[in-house]
Amino acid sequence: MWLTGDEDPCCTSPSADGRYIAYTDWSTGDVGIRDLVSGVSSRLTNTAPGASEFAEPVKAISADGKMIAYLWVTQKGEGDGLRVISATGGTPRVVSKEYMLPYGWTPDNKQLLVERLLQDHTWQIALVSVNDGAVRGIKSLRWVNNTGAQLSPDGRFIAYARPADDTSPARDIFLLAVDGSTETALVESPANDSSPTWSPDGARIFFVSNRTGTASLWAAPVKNGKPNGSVNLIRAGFDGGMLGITRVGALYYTSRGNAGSNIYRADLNSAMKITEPPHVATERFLNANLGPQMSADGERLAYFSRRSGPVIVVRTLKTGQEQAFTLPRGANNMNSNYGPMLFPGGDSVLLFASDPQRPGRTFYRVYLTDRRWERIHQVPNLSSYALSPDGKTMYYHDGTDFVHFSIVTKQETVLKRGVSINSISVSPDGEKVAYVVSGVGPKEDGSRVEIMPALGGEARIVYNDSPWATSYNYNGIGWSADARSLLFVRTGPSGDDASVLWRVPIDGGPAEELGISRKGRIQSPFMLPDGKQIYFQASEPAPGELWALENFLPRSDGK
Amino acid sequence: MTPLLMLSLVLRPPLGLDLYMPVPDANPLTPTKIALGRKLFFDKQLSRDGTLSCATCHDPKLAFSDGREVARGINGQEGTRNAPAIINRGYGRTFFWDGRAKSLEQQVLEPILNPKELGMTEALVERRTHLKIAEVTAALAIYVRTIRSGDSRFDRYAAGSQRALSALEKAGLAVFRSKARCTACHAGPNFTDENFHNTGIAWRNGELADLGSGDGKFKAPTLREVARTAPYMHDGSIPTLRDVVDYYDRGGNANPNLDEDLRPLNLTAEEKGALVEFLRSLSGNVREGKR
Repeated sequence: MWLTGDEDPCCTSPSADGRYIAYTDWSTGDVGIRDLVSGVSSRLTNTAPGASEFAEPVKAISADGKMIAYLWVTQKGEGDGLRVISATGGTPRVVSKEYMLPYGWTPDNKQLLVERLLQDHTWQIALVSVNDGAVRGIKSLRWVNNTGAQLSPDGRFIAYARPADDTSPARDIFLLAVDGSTETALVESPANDSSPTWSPDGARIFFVSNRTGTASLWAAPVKNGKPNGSVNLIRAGFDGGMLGITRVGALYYTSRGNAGSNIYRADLNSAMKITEPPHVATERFLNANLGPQMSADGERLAYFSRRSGPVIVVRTLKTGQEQAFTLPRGANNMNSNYGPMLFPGGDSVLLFASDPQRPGRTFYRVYLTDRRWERIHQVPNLSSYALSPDGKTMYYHDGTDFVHFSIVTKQETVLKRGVSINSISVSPDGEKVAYVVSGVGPKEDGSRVEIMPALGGEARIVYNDSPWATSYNYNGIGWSADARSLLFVRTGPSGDDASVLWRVPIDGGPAEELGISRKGRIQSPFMLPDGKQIYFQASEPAPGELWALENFLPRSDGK
Repeated sequence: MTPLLMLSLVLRPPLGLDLYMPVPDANPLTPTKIALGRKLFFDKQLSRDGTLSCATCHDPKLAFSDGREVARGINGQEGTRNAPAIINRGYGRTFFWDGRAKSLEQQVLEPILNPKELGMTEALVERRTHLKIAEVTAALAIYVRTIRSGDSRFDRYAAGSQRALSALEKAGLAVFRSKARCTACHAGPNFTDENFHNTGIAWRNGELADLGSGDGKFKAPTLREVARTAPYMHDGSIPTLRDVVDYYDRGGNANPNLDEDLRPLNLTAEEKGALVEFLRSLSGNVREGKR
């Protein structure tokens, strides 16, 4: 129905008549609405490019199609809040200054169903009055979010997905009465069941489940907030992002198309310039590989691979042999901006993931063979991190401070306060740590690459320029093999700008391009110990796709 | 007033609590059961010698705690653990300090039958109450679900009333959420993650004096009404809120299973004082059995 480009309709139900869908325009962060009949997109807000504020993708169109609710987010947190705007444009109105993701409107258009982030970083399903912002908390979720909560057509029940208990991150589907009187498990299985969507008559809930090994579309009959029969497979091999079902029963969903991430390799000459264009280094499961990380001894490459479930692949570089380790079901809440960092010995990797039983982010050491997860450390927030070559130290930026953390003694030491760091890398000898300060904001004078002694001390700027590394350009720095240069990724202020790989000597000298540029985002650059090859990940840009699945609902007369 | 309308009034949660409170399908809330449960809760006939009731250790005047280090049963027998404040337990996931009961229906009978607490037998309970034991547990569990605390000054502040907290309490709230790391365990509307943590309290002379749920872990209790529920910790070993803050400030008692969230906090005296003041703001209105 639509090749979406920068206009992202992710996570937003269509209007009841199926004609309109709201989106976030990532080139500016604005809210827009797309007329799917005429094919015309209209921006409803008007934010200056580079303003560092945007509408979260989760939005909700009112039942009468006249209003759109969205969460507005600013870099500094001032002006954040739940807003509504007319579907024809105009001045938005602030409903609440709290961080609330709107998932739907009540049938009378008076309240919004939201996921509410509380100040202690826990989440709650709540209803918010559109008129005065009064909140009615219905169910607290501890640290679980992204439940995909959806109101039934009659507004009496909320379908949502959460882990059934503390023993597994895999989700089930629950039905919660809006008046708080009951909650019932609708779909329970060891698999991951998510993205509940009501049929127009409220008699079924469609959901995505990987119970057969691959993500598929299923339906669960429901009556008066209770299960009403067994679940049925609707469509096998469904990996779309569910948006919602229109009044006439068309299911809207998004698809990634052929876009994806690959790991690339390029040969370098003695001047550290590439000798020919980079080529894909991991031919299996194209468009599904990301986060390459080299072991400290330079013998192994570890990376994530998105297959039927999350997989870590470890490749022996000399032989090219690969071993794939399937992660536990539900482990896909790990963050993929950073790949699996190998500990010395190669039998375990450092990962971080959100843990529904804990606030913030949790670092894990994952033993690959026996799939054992060992908690290492917990932080309230995380924007970037790195592991020292000896596997004894982590460096991370928790959103505010740059921290040295001893995995052995559990001692935290703040290396630098009040900076915005999006990329960190430790030198091969473990003596220095390099990082990128994004330097975006009214009081900042530009992005820069800095280094400091690994145990802390005076930082030294190696390279700076006007802003070229937004806070979203994670994991874009690495060391040359001789540790005399840094590789870093420069991007422009717009999402359309290409990523370019640069090199800068740490002891002075001009920065220069390596000759590698991609339309998409480059991440995880590193050089092999012989200095003759460079690896990196590139995410290929491709237009997103909006699809409609029609004529799949059983006839109401039962024939 | 119809029973259903009355029930809806009874169950309207105080400010700050979730609208949804889990209630098992097998034991629905009814006004009759609430009233019966309340009567049983205060009935000393539920102790073998007729001297104690549930309310002895869970005194409404003390936010349903008893002010003692450890619970005291019939014949002056002392237990090993502090009687917890049983407020907002309807939102709980497991019960007792070690979580050994999976429902309130399981939980409420155990102290009645414990020889060191109320010392009854099931037969004696049935004879004295003229009720089946299942009716007693159902009614008591339902009554406990109605014991709720909310509408504190903190709740009013969270709902938008900026003046509900003093500047000192607001400073304490900031410490609570950041430097003191309290929200690692005391989070959500009920200020507990309902999980089990080794804070080192049970570590004595190089060994665990009480295993709790295992490895010296005990459930994080709610902090609502905390100013009224001294002494603190599972064994009542810390007498004041300031002492509790000092204990966590030094990182707890080091032991092999100490929770990784515990570490020295380096709080200043001002921060400790503000934190205690904030904790006092969590006292609100405790409702039980009725609107």
